[in-house]
Amino acid sequence: MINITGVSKSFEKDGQKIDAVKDFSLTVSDGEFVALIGPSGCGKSTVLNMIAGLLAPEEGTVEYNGDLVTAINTSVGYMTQKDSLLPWRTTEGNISAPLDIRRVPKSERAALVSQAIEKVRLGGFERHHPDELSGGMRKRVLLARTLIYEPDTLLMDEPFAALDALLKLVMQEELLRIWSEARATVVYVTHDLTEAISIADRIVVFSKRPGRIVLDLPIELERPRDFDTIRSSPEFLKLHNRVWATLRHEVVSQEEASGEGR
Amino acid sequence: MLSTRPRVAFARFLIIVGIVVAWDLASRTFIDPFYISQPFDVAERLWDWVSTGDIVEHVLATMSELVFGLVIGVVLGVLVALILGSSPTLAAVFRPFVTVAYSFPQLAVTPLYILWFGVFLMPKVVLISVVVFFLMFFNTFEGVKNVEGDLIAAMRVMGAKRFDVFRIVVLPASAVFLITGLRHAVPFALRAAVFGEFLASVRGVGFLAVTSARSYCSAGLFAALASTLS
Amino acid sequence: MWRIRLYQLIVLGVFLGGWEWVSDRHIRTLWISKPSLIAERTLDWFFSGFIYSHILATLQIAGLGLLIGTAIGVVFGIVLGLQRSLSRLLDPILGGAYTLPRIAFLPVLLFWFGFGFRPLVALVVLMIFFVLFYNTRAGVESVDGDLVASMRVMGATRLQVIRMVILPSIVPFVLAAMMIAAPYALVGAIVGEIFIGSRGLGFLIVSSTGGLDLTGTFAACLVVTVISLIATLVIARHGPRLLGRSPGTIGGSAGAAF
Repeated sequence: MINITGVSKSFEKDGQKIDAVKDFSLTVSDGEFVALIGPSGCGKSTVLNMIAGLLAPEEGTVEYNGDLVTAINTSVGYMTQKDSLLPWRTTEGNISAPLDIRRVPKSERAALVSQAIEKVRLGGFERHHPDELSGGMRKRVLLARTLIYEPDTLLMDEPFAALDALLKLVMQEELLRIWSEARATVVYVTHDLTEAISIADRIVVFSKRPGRIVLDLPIELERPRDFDTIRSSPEFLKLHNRVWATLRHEVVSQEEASGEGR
Repeated sequence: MLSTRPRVAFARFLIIVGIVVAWDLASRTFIDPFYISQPFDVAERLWDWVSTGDIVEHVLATMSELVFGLVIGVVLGVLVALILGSSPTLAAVFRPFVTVAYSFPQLAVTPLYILWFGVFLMPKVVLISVVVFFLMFFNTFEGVKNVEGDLIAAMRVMGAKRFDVFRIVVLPASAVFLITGLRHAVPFALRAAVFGEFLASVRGVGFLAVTSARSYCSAGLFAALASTLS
Repeated sequence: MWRIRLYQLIVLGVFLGGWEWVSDRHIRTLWISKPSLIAERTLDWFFSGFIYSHILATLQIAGLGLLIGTAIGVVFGIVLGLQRSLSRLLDPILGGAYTLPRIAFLPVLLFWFGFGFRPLVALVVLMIFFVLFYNTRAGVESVDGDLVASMRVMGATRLQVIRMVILPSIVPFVLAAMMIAAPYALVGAIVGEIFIGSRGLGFLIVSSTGGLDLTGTFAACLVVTVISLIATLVIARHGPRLLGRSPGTIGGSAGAAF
């Protein structure tokens, strides 16, 4: 359970104070798959970083499973848009990094790692270095690394944004397959509306900066979801239009605001 | 809330004050001032030199070495680079010699200059000229070569003659090398001057430093260093 | 290509021949020696084994200084690379120190470390410290913030981040810096020996000159040239491969290093 209550956070840029989020509140229940969507720079990543404990709010509180988040929150897994892999480690080495950090005995690591590799279907690439892997494979390694220590929440910051459209689809399906087994809570930041509706239980639409919630919508599409059929279903289109109407307004006014700023 | 800029400047000022205070304290407590002198002694010595005018002679000596050496080195360096850079064949022929000369530590021949040219102005001017010559030469030579690639081809296509290219492209470009090269060369010239004075001299700031060191006078040594740096 | 080689031979021939011819005809050999004598002396040094102890002395000072300077520079680089605000605070002071003529500190080093090899090693350390420091700091600062953040979320302590992320990331930066610094170290050792040496190649130059044995001076210079040339070429050829994909230019040159 994640409980964010009345948080504000600002940054200084070129000597100017910019509010990323202001008086923001959000509750995510256990096992829920929530997508945060909004115009770029609206504070979605800031919220994610506060849940991870990488940023501290200036006002308000972030609670995780009833405890105040004051330091780095190591019960979450964090997957960023960039491939934050260690370039000098192989697939195996990268996936076992969290075990290394947690001082899991070497004898137990191998089994866990090979299990994780199997789960993300990377068999045969155990000894490859990240620069020998394709973009999709690197994402699989990241996913395996994030899942191996079984965090009860996954924070994902546009994890597949850098992939091409087809690969993105494949990875989304993989993610859902793995998630249906692991049943972790997922907070998924994206600016891709189709992606958000296809994978999430709930969509939270952010306003332009400073971010607040302008729409909080449950996605009651049946699981397991088959992307080919749901994306052409009438419910999908209805949801899409509904969210897009709100989002469009925010994106346009964000554009205008940043235009004036210049 | 104070904006960051003046705060940082103030903090830096504090650090410098802190270093001087630490120096003073160290010299009074656990390090023999024989080795590190004391800030006050150094300031006093400097003031002494300035007020009696003793320092003028030494600074002037070093300055004149620098000026002569820089002028000769810069002019020759740029000239030779332009000549060698103007023809691909010439450049190719001289390339290995250039590599060898560049990998040789120029300061190492200082004793030879002293033997040939004595202990006064001349050997330092020669040393500085050689050092500056090579620096300017390499900067300009590389620069001219780079200009050649993109711009000159375009000029030639437009119908420019060899001399036109030189006049329109190479000369203005080398003015840029001249300025960047000079900025690069001045500190090296100063180092060469000081080293030359260390080895053999009768005046100059390097001479001051080395005579202070030889007579185990750390205040004089640090004062001479301070005048080198300013 | 062969035409250029031919021209090169001609240039070399004219230079050496002219020198040989002028010597003792127009200028006394005492003052400029002559190529044939220099070649003879150099060969003699190598065959008699006389030169090796001097080469070794110089290389020892350069190598020791390189190691110590690397150690100090890397530690400073890591600390200031991690402490950005402290780094920003100290930047102008470090920048000022970087532009100081380090050679001017020779008398100070002499004063502090006495005679022998220690002031020479200290000079080498001074000459290369900043190259190592700035490169290491750049390496630390280039570490991807996301990478560090994700390690922290996985539960890594600061020390674990340094061990698992920072140290491996800066290896190519430190190696590149050592390659840039190697010729500087050689120059530092030789220049130091000229000033206060009792053996080594720099000492050979200054003592030969002092004894009016210019053949010895030029022979020593020749040995220095060959050694620094070998160092430069080896680094230029094998450096990039050793560093793999790492960015930046590789290899410094002794000519402009002091």
